[in-house]
Amino acid sequence: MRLGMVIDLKRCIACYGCQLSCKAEHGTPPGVFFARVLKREEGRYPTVRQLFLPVLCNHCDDAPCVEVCPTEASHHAPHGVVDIDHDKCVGCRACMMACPYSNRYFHDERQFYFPESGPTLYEAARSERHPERVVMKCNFCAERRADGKLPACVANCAAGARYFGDLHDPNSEVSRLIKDRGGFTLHPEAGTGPAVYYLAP
Amino acid sequence: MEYSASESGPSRGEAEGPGHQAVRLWLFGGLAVLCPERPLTLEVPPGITVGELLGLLGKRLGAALLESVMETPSRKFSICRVFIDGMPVDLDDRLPETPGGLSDFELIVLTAAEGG
Amino acid sequence: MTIHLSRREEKPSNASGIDKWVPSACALCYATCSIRAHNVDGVVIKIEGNPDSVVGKGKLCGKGVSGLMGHYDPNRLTRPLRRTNPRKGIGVDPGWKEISWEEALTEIAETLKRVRAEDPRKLVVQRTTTVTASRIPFHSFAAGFGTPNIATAGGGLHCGNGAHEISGIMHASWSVVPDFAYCNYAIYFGASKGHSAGHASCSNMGLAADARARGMKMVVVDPMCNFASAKASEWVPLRVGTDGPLALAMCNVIVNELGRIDEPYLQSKTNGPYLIGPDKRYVRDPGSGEPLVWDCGCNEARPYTKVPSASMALLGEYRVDGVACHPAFQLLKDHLQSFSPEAAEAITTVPAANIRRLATEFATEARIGSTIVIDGVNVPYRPVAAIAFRGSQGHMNSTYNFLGIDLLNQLVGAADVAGGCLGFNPACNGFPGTGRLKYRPKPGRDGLMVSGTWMGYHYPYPMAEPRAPQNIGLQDLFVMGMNSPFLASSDQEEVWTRFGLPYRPEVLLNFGANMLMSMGTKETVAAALQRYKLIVSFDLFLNETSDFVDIVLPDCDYLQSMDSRSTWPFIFGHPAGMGEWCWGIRQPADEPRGEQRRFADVLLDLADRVGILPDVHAAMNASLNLEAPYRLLPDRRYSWDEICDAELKNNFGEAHGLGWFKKNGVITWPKTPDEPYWRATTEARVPIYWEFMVDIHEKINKITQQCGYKAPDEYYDPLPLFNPCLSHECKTPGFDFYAFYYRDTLHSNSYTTENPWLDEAARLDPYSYTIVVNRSVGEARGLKSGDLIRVETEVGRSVEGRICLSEAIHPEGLGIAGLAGHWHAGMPVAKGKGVFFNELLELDFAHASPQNLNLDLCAKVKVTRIGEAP
Repeated sequence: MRLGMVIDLKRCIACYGCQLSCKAEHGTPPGVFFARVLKREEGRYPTVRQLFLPVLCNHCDDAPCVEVCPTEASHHAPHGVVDIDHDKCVGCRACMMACPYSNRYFHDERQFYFPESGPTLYEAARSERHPERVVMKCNFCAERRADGKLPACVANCAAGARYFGDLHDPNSEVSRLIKDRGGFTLHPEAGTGPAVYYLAP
Repeated sequence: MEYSASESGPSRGEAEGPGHQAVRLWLFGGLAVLCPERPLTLEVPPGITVGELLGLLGKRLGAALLESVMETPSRKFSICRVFIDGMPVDLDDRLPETPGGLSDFELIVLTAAEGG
Repeated sequence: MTIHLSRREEKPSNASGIDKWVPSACALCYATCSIRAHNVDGVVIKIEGNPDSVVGKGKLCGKGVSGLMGHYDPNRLTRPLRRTNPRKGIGVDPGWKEISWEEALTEIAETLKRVRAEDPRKLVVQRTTTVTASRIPFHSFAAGFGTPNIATAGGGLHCGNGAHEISGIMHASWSVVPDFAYCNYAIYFGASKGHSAGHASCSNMGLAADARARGMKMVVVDPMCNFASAKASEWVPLRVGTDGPLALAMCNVIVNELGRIDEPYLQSKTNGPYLIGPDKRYVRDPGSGEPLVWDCGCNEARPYTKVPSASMALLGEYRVDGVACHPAFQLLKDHLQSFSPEAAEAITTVPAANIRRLATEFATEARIGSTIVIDGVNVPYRPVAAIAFRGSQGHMNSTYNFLGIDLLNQLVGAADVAGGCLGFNPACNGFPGTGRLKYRPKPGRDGLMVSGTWMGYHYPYPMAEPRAPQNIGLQDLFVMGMNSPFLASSDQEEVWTRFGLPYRPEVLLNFGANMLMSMGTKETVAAALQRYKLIVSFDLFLNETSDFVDIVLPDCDYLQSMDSRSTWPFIFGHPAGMGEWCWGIRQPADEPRGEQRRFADVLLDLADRVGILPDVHAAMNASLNLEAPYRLLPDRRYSWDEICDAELKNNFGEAHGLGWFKKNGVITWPKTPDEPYWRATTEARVPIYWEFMVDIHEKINKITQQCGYKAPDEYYDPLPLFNPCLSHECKTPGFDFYAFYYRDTLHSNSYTTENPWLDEAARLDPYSYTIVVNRSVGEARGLKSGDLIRVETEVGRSVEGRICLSEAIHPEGLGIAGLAGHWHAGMPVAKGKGVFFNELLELDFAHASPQNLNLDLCAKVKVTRIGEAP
């Protein structure tokens, strides 16, 4: 079994629900978005369109971050999920240099959204879990999955643009979508074997 | 939490003319400013319509009341709501016969809708 | 300044061990999607959509999931404040002093008692559009007090005067949307339904995505290609504010070039067959007063009620009692000839060939005459929809722009039928358990449709009779207007004097609206606010308007409040089309902090102190339609929770009171096809010819004759015209951009810019906080993305910001996401972010539509570079 995600760009409307539900789920510090939405214009006026591209850790099969990690903190967890063992991470950031997708963040020190007044009750409750001086990123919502839930960005997507499942199962929804609609990955030339696929807009 | 005649007022008023019935009038909101007495008890001919009752009320309280309630001589404002014994009524509805009790006649002008 | 803020908050001491999901309702925008808030040990740690509800369908947008950062903002107010500095001005420190609730309410009640005794109309009640739960409590307070003066700051004045009124007249609903489940071809004019904004926001996002996936073609007419337009199969850029002529030219092609119209629909569901005389009015039957139609069966004019629809003439010239007359449709057909695609191209910049193609596609895809079986019921099927909202109707020509667009639907019979343009739930058969909440459009005066329900009892049709103004907004004179600029216009006093307003407002009771930013240029609003003797404001934060407030009351936010009707009225924000009915509530997921109190309970307390509690109860009985045994007693003191309980039991039976809803969140039951597709089986017509305008015009002019004012003819024609905004008349060299604002997906009004998550996302977005100008045009002037520019109007109003050069905007357009640019220290996250567009808007009689008071929302501007890109 290999967990993967399919993002249907035809459905995505860049509402930022993924980016912010991810933040709400994980209580990430300022500046950190495990999930993000990128926007780009294609073409020239008036034959132009806007492309919306939601991005997150690609949980690569051949993950450069895992390869370069000197302490084995970045590792493949079960089902192909790339995760970081914060007890082992020494914050060298080699993984950040290696990741072709810029989806890793270094948590240098605790920061809060209202710096003058310290953590809000929410931040106090949700951000304690993030140790300092380590690299952090998406782990396909390991805690939610342990509770039998979908990753937050998938569960919350109002446009129904995100699918999650087993890429190894040819009959899974994700596999069928990739096959039927020509799912593609980002930077295939990097040869990393991402687990996040996109369907054309 | 029922709001009903039996709970909230004195017993049946004395009839004024033969066959007349007494109605207890509750004017609320801006209308209450025009008539400080609440409830106001009025003797009315039996079976009159709500519109006729409003006409009587206008004679008693002055033109300002009718201006607040009636959009044209034959039509009340849609935001003016009239209730008899707690049930919504319109100008053509008739006052019910209420043997052994008074009818409660409520009148309020709501606010008009605005944007959103 | 001694303001106590809730810095370094403590957890509630008795909350340890709590772990609950509280079903409630969002309030980050007025869509009010259903949510579940997760409270652990007294702290709300997550907000998710409530999957039990069709309002949101278990999903939330970026704003909705971010609500708890606003909730826990340490800048939230926690104590009542009173100013000590009598001088009011922008940036002038009010010298806030903390006071007790007792002191605050005593002072407010004393003033209100005095004012009510003098003239209750001197009170103005204003609320934000965002918290829909505030409508009943504040409207009831206003009605109980006896003032007609209710306002929603910029709401309506900017967004809804045309859209809601015409959706009401033509679709018996607050807004319109494509029937996403069956529509194959939707054309949007300045609307973003289904793209993270507005009514039924999150539900529509899913429905629109399903429609795209199914292959629905979506054409979006918009000066900027961002939200709906970014997802469109075709983006049609146009000159700002010219949607009306484009739609009318399309109508012209459909009627006069293609001749592809739904005749049986026009005969039976519109006033198209009604005969119109030379005075532009209906020719009426002398006996019954009913409008006449020409009966082709017996070749004579007869009352419309006596003639089978199929025999009614739509075309031709007839003589009735020697007077020449025409069916209304014939007049529309002739009228449309003046909107040739070529003429429209000159106005809109959309090539005539494209206009013809779009019109042909629309008329062809309409499949006139077809039907479809849904849930076993055969209903008309017209899988095309033309919809509009804020963008196209936010102009002086608001009414005609929206009407012209809706005529596309009417001509092909695509109104409230499967696949067509739907009102949001114009008909409901009621809750099966009690039969309550039942409403349906019905024929009214002259057989024209009256809404089954509305946002209150002020129905859009029949229109009110114009009268000498008693309302500060003059909506009772200009009866097509809902919200009004005269709440704060620069010529307010002149207007009131001219039209004879018999009093002047003295007290403003404000709920959450930041009026200084929400209407137009700030100095004009400031001057209006300075004239009030007392301003009381329920707020979450101190903001720009607070500089003019006397007493600030610390409000609870949506996670701390109660509302018994978060998904009602169904015509407002409940998803349209087939599916389920769903009634939900809002309930507290967290306790108030400090001395925060819920506004609804504060209003009841205040009503008691002013001596109007029986009046407020009567208003609630009337507006909540409470019936025995749930009617409120005049003199009994109720908590707001008790009133919510009464409303719920009144609608859903004794077993479904507040307790039931607190536990279950929502109650649902299935829709049947005769509800969303009510039109085919409902005997009501809608006006394609607005005959009543003639009467309204005459009556207004009769009233205003002595003031030397005549409402311009071109705004009161029964058939839609194009009256460009005043800003379009600016021909001064150098002022060559049409500035406009749009609603950003990340923000609602201006207050979400204080939410640090939304602010952070907006700072990363290329457009949210920048000024967008066409790339080629910008480069030709030596501008680079990131340059600091000044945007200036002819009269010298200006804003500054960073420019974003984009391919995705019309060359004459200048787009700014509204509404940002706070400058007050009370909202430190928001301060200095984005651009305050409204500063460019003139607030005066000349810039208000003489038809419906909508403001001219475009500004002709000059752009100057004042700094290099960083």
